[in-house]
Amino acid sequence: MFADKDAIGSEFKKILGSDVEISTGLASIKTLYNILNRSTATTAKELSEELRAAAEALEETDYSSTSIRSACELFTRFISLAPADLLDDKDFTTVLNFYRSRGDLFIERIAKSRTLISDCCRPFFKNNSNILTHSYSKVVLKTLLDAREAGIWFHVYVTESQPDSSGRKMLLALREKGIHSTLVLDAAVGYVMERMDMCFLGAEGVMETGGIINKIGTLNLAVCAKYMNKPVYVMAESIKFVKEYPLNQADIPADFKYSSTAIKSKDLQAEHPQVDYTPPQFITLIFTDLGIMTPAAVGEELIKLYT
Amino acid sequence: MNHRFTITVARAAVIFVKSVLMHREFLVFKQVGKSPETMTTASTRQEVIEEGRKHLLIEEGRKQLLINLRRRTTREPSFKLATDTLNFLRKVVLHGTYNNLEELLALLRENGLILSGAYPSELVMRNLVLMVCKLARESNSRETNGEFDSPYDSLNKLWKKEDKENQIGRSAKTIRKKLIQAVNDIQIEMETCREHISAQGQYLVHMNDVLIVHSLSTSTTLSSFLAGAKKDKKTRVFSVQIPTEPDDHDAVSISLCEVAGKMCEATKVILSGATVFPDGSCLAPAGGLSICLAAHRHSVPVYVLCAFYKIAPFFVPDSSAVIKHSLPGLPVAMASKWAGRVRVLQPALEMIPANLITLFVSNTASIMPSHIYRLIGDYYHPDDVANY
Repeated sequence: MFADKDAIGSEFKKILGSDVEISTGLASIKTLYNILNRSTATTAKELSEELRAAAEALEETDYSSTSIRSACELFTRFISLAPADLLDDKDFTTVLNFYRSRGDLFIERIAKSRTLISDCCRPFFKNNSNILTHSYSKVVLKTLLDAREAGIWFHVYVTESQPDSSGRKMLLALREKGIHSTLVLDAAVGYVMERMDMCFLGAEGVMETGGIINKIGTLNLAVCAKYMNKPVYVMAESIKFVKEYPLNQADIPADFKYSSTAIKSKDLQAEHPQVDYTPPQFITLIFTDLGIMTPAAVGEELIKLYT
Repeated sequence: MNHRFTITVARAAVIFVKSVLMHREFLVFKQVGKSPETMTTASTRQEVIEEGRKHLLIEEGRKQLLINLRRRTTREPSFKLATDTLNFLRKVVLHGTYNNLEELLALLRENGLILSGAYPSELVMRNLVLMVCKLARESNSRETNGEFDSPYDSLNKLWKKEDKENQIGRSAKTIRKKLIQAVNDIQIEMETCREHISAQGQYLVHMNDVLIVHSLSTSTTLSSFLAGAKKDKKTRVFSVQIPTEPDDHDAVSISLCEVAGKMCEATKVILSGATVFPDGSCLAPAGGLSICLAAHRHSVPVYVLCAFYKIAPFFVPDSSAVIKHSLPGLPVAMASKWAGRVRVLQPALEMIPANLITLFVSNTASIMPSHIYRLIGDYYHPDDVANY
């Protein structure tokens, strides 16, 4: 019994709307969890089909499909790693209950991610430093707010991040909490870089290469920072790890680059890409809820999981 | 004036030590939180005295270690410091009072914190304390649950319950016995480190190689590595020297400012590392960074020799916090004029970023900088690192 796509989409949007703090990844996991809870599947195959269909429906919404895909893949992977003797059980409801309890733990753990990231990032803050960040990222925002609350003084420069001006949203959120911040043009990244002490980036997805896919303009910032020897720190929850191995910008899957409405209706040649791929050599460290990682460690984590 | 002041201080110290010795018996009771009056039977009294003695033994071991550190005028090879630290930790394990793993870990941590509080830049001490903590955990659990599961957080574990090892541990006696065994194993591994590293010299250095090395006279590992390489291969060695250093090696001395010029002749750069961090960056004797930059410019591979106990489990956001400064800051002639007004910084070490290093030569294998993080799990437990 498959729920129809629009219903799944609207449920997802409702979860996202109910809590401004919730990340796209966690919201999609919660949606899948709800589907799992309602499921009346009688075989493992049926259940996985049902979840796969739901994941596809989620990707068709206009939210970051990188985050959605990584979260959905992880969720289906986790619940499917059941002990073999359990799967032989005649009654599929025991298996379902087992999956549900796993889903519970998973969501509980994911909800703590941002705090964990913020904690492991704290020692890297220095008083009176200048920090450059790009676009609006909830993890970066929380990390900055927590550091300020811990009594560290710093000045944040936020890029405007066109075409949707999400940098302005970041700026307002920072100013609201009394953090000194300045909005800079996307084109002014090179201009301000010499004054910066470090750059903080969020990510929509962390690739197997250790590189990240993030809001368009991230690559410009990272290249500039690398050239001027400024450390680039990425903050990303581990549910954003994606099993993709892009080598250049053309390798980014089209559904990551463009919104699903654009893919359906428009000529992609004329469309602006929404994300770019920043290769691992431009990233100093990645802060995740699993701890601090070098970009090289991300691939290993993914390989450990999918083998 | 200064001289007289020193004498006064010395006298005060002597008096203090005497008074401490006089109150030794009293201290013994104080350490275990009981007074002599409350002792009823002779046997418990004896036990308490024994316990207190052991406590004092540990404390004296620690003091001795710190005093030796304070006394030295030049930097000793970190192997010696590592051995001393390990010997002290063995004393803690052997004589400390604990009933289970938690108490032992707390004891190790307490002593470790005092050591690293006194010498925050001696990261080797910290590494060894954490290493022994991990071994303590292993010797507690090896028998209780068969294999030792990696305690590190991983994508694989996001859906697993955090079972905080509420298993019933081994008795203190078993832990002690097993841990001492494990500590002895580390000791042996440490002693054979140099041999193993120098054995790799044969494979890493080739015929007619031109090597640039740094701080050859202070690093015994480096000189034995070169000796290993030279056994059956003809090489030319440029040794970067501070001008006043004596040279008793089979190497051409060059000064640091010549390095950039000589780099185009060189085929390899070999440095001795002081500490290696999980991201692949390392601390090396001052001057190392400019050599590495010159090597990078000419695409000359850089090898860094590092024994396993130099691999630190944490990332360092600010290298100035862990860099040691060598003595003395001021030349004697200027001291009277400038004392108290000028602080001359003379860092003994320098941070070298991971991208300038080609390979770390450790005792077990040669490791790329980007793979150093994998070794952390072999030697350290995340809870110990987080609580330290």
